[in-house]
Amino acid sequence: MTAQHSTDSGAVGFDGVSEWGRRWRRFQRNRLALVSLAFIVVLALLAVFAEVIAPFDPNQPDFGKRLTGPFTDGNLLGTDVLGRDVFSRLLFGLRTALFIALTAELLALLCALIVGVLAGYFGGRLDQLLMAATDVMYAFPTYLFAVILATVLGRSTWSIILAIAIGSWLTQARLVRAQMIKLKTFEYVEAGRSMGAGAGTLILRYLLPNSLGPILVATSFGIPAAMLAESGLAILGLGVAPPEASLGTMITEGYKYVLVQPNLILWPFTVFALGMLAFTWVGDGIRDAFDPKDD
Amino acid sequence: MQLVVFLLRRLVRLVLSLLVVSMLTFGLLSLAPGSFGGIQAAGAGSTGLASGRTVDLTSQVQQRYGEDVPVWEQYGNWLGPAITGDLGYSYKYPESTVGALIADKLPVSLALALIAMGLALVVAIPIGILAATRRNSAWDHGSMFVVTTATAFPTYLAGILLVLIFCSWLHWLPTGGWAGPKYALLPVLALAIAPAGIMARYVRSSVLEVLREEYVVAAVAKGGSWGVVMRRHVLRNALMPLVTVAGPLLAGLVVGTIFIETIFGVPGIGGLFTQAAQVRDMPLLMGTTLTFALLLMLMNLLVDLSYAVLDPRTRSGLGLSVDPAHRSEDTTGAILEEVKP
Repeated sequence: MTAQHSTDSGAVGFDGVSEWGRRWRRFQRNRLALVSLAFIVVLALLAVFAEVIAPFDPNQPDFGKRLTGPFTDGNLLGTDVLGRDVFSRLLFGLRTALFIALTAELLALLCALIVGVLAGYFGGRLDQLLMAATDVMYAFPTYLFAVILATVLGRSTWSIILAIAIGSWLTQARLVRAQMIKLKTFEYVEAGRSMGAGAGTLILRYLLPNSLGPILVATSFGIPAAMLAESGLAILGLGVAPPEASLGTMITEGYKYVLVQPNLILWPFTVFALGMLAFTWVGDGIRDAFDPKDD
Repeated sequence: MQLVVFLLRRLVRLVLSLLVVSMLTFGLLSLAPGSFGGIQAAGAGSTGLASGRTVDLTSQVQQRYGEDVPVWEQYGNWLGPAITGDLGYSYKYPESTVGALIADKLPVSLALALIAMGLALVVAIPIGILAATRRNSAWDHGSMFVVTTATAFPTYLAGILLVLIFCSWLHWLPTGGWAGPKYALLPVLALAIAPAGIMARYVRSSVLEVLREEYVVAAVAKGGSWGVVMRRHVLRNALMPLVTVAGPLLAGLVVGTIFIETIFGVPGIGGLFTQAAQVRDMPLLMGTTLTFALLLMLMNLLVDLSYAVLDPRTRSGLGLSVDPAHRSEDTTGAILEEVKP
């Protein structure tokens, strides 16, 4: 991961292309990442317009048609054990899963940025505290911590978001801290300071823009990790409370009927696995985009 | 001497970390809504044998840990005997001590994790070596694509995929249970997939790196045959650092059995942990959490030690250099860097 040496990310280079333009070009060169990005946009649209697209109420049982296969009675992907439309539940489940993953990651990133910047730039007590806390968390298996947190916080969407965010922000804070410590010794930061720039200016104009690459990469890998955490909690019976659907709880529910009606698990599983892979590949693409060495 | 100091220092740290983990777990659990007695009573109804036993048990629990005293005092009541190795009796299985329960179930999980690790190594090493020696060939690109995809799948998704293929579609294997080798096959496969992927990528980059070393060039220039150079010079040096990745992965596998045991109904320690969290079985939850944490830390310690033994260059600096937190950050960094095809 290479730091950018231009302080202004919007600067126009010799070839008349802005830094962001060059990054976008490098990103596009990774075909897999480009296709993945398109796929994620489609998923996001499906999730946002779930109400409009879904043909049925996702939580409305219909005991007259339980566990039907795909393409019966207008149920595109069949029905589950309570006769609820799988396609509609899939849309809303996708929305829940994406919402939980994005919000948890954003929350974790926000905490990580604040603590990581302060600890890395100013050092001192906060820094020692952060290092001590991460040392302990390395001994605490991540999933165990998330399970215990979820047990404490309950099964609402927000408590699951909180459990995932609390479990993941420390490692990201450590990454931000490492970036700050590395960058603050660079000459252009020294130059800025000698010209009278205060800590705020140095952090906002010099240090943060130049650590954008590693932070964005960590974020893009944090989203699939959060999706995984959500489905992992669901597998252990700590997912979003019923009747609400999320991809994780749909997979868990579907697993009970895997021999009777594999459709129930096949669809949420496929969407989940593809979505997760897509996020991972976009992360790869972002890493390429911020890595100018093969320009 | 240096080794003794190093070990002592690490052991002190290990004990301190365990202490903090136990405090965190205890504190969080005491904040959790619902209690063991309450959940049992709700499940059993107000009549019957079960409720009588629960009342009995609740009074026993109160005697041992104290219900009306503040949390820190309850923690003290737990910690005192725990230091001497007495983790108390489980609430859910009042006939057995937590220690006995863990001793009973841990071998199953350990065996699963070890077999899976062995399988992963056997698969990963040849794939990685072939990909490195035929760099940029179709085999390299193809295998690395498959491997990267496999790495993105956590154990439980891999497990579900395997069930879909082998149970639901082909009807070859049972979906769950624990009654012979046939039942262990899918859990082991599910556990092995992700670490195999990570290690294959690691082997590939490690071999590529060593192939560029001057001593390899020199060995070839001296007229060493390809096979001999590979065996004596390249593989020996390239596979050594695999220990640093394999150790933490193995610890991760033991924790990963939580999901696999839930999916496949394997009677291991992961299942104990999940049950304990669900019914607020405090002694059992403390016991299982600490066992997992201890395993993880011991594994990291072993990795650092084996590294020192295998690589003479790090041996002298043993006392100062090895910081587990920094090291594991470095390895994940290396792994992340490696994802790039």
